[in-house]
Amino acid sequence: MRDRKEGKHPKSVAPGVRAAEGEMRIPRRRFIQTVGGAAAGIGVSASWSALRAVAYAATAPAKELSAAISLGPWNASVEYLFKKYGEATGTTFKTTKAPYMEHYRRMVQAMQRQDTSYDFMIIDPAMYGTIFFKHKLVTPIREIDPAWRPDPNLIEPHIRVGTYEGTVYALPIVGNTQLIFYRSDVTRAAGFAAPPKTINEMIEVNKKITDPSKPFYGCILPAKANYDIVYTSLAYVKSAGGDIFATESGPDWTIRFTSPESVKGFKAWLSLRPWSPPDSANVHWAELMNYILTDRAWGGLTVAAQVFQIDDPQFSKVPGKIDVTMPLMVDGGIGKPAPILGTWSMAIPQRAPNKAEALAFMKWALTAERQREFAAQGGIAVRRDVLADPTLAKDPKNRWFAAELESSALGQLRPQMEHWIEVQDRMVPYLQKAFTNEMPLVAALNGAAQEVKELLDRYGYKNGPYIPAKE
Amino acid sequence: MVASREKGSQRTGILLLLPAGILISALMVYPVGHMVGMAALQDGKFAASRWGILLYRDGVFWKALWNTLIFVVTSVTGEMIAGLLFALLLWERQGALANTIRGIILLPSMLSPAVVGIVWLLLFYPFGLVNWGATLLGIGRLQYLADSRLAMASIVFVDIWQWTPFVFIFILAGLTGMPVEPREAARVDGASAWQLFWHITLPLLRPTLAVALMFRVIDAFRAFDKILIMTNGGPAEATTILSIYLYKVSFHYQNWGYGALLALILIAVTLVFQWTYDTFVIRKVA
Repeated sequence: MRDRKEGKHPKSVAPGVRAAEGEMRIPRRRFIQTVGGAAAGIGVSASWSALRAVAYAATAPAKELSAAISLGPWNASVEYLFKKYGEATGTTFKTTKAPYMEHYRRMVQAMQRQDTSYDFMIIDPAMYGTIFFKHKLVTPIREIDPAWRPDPNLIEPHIRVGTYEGTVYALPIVGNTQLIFYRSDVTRAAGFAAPPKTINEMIEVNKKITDPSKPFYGCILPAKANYDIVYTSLAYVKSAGGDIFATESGPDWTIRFTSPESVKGFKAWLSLRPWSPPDSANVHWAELMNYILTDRAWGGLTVAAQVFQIDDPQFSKVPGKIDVTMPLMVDGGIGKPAPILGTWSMAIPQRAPNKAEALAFMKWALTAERQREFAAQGGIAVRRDVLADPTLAKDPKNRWFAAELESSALGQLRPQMEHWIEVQDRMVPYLQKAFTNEMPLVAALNGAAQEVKELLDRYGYKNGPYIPAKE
Repeated sequence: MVASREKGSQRTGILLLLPAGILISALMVYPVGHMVGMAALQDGKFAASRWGILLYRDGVFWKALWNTLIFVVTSVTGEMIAGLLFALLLWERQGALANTIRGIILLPSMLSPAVVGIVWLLLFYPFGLVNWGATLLGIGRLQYLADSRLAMASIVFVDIWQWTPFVFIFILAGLTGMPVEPREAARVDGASAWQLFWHITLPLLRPTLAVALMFRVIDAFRAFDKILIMTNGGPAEATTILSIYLYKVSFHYQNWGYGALLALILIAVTLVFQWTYDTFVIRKVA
């Protein structure tokens, strides 16, 4: 009975519902008015949009170039070039920015799926360029302009970073290399007329200026579990005559970071450890600069791109007191420093829709006049004549130009191999263990070598037996 | 008649659920299926066996798996204990102060893990607040994130700090909804506070605890952002958990097949836990 009632329930109220429905029905005239009004509104709006599109097309700039760049302190100076180029040619830029690793991931994926969204991109070829170059994901410069030749004033190692197997794929824009940022006032006060040039000189400075009670530390060694630890130590390894592999760009990828010269370089690097801050194993470049800018350390080896903040009171507690010098030499090594390049370069994707226009911009950006303007905006020029320009050098804010030029000219490449990031990831934990005294250096290098060898064999890199590291 | 009506209403129910079902299946099944495809095939060839051999030899994977288990067990245990303690302390407390404390306790869980990572990175600095406090207490400066013996403990601590509020609110809800009669009866019988907790409150709270624990374990397996920001898996792989490792394999090395396999392993580990826990714990206590 109950079920039946419940079952009949909707029908029993049907008349009422119908009445309600009747009340809710919209009169035809009102319906036509509403729909007509909406249609008229859409029509007017569409016409307006069409008119705007026609007007835009009539006055549109010549081209729009789409650029992908990694977020960095040099962005403003690069974007200044975009603006100036726009003023000169009417070309506008659509810029996509992302943090370092995200930018790398996006670019690799975009290139692999033959994306046509970007006309050019700014990449870090020393770190991951081979992925783009080897698989021809970017266009060789001479494929777009067969007559292109590098300007003799462009610093050669910066060009070399974007060259793979003799073909130039990328042109430098930000001459990022390694420099030592240091406290010149503290150095002088400690009785040193000039900044240290060698590891042994650095140790002497460290001994005099370090004061753990304040605390004030000496030369900082950034050793975070990213790539800083490899990037920093490699400068010492190369200065000692060592290297990661037998050749820089193949074909012989036999491990060399266990060679006596490399061990010497790693030992030289570790010899500075006692004066580095205690948390160095988690110190990245940003933290390194923070130590110097907050008057807690003498200095350290980092990338030239950090220069933007040394005189800015917004960042620095010691403006005007930080100077810049060359990376340290390892005593008894090759007799010169070996700064590792971190050049940012411009490359044109294989499927870029406006290749010629992108290259035109790149060539324009590398002219002496533009590079001068770029440097004035805080950019790191890649031309010899700009960095050596006496007028520019006179300006105290450009006091780092000489060191930058010298460091760039001596600039060294990291291995040009597709799996360099993975090789580094195999090395990082072992180097960290050596750095934190969890493992003796020799054992750490041999452990890393074993893993890297396994990696090389797996990916089919030609390599021979390596000499295990010895004390 | 009734049966046919019931059948009809069932059919209507299924029809109504169908669009959502299709959508959810597409959103769940397709990505997982695609991932299986990525792990099994590379350039159109079967690659799973190659990945299998690689996995067996991959020391970083085994370390990451071990670190994941350590991280999940310690952080969830800490969160459950701290959440229970806070909930018991604030249970049945009324007034502005109790409400304010409840609000403050909930704050960490409202922050994004990335923000938590940055905040604690700064707090753990040699000149950060933690070391400042430790120095005042005579402990001295410790390298919480730079020392491989302390890094995992520091990460676990931060996870406990962030997710205890979640457990707290879950348990507080369970305590509030608990019948008062058994406790009152036990009190009349002269039970002590500890006896009340151990024999009455805790057994009644078991279903709530079981569900809170399941949520937290599943979430802890997915931990990623904070660790990436605070230590990037270091020092010396001390904080490399599976999610960090699979991120590096996929996005740094561009090894999508192996990365997909690692992701499937992480999903499988979580599912095995969930199934075991559901079968042996949830069904018994619920």
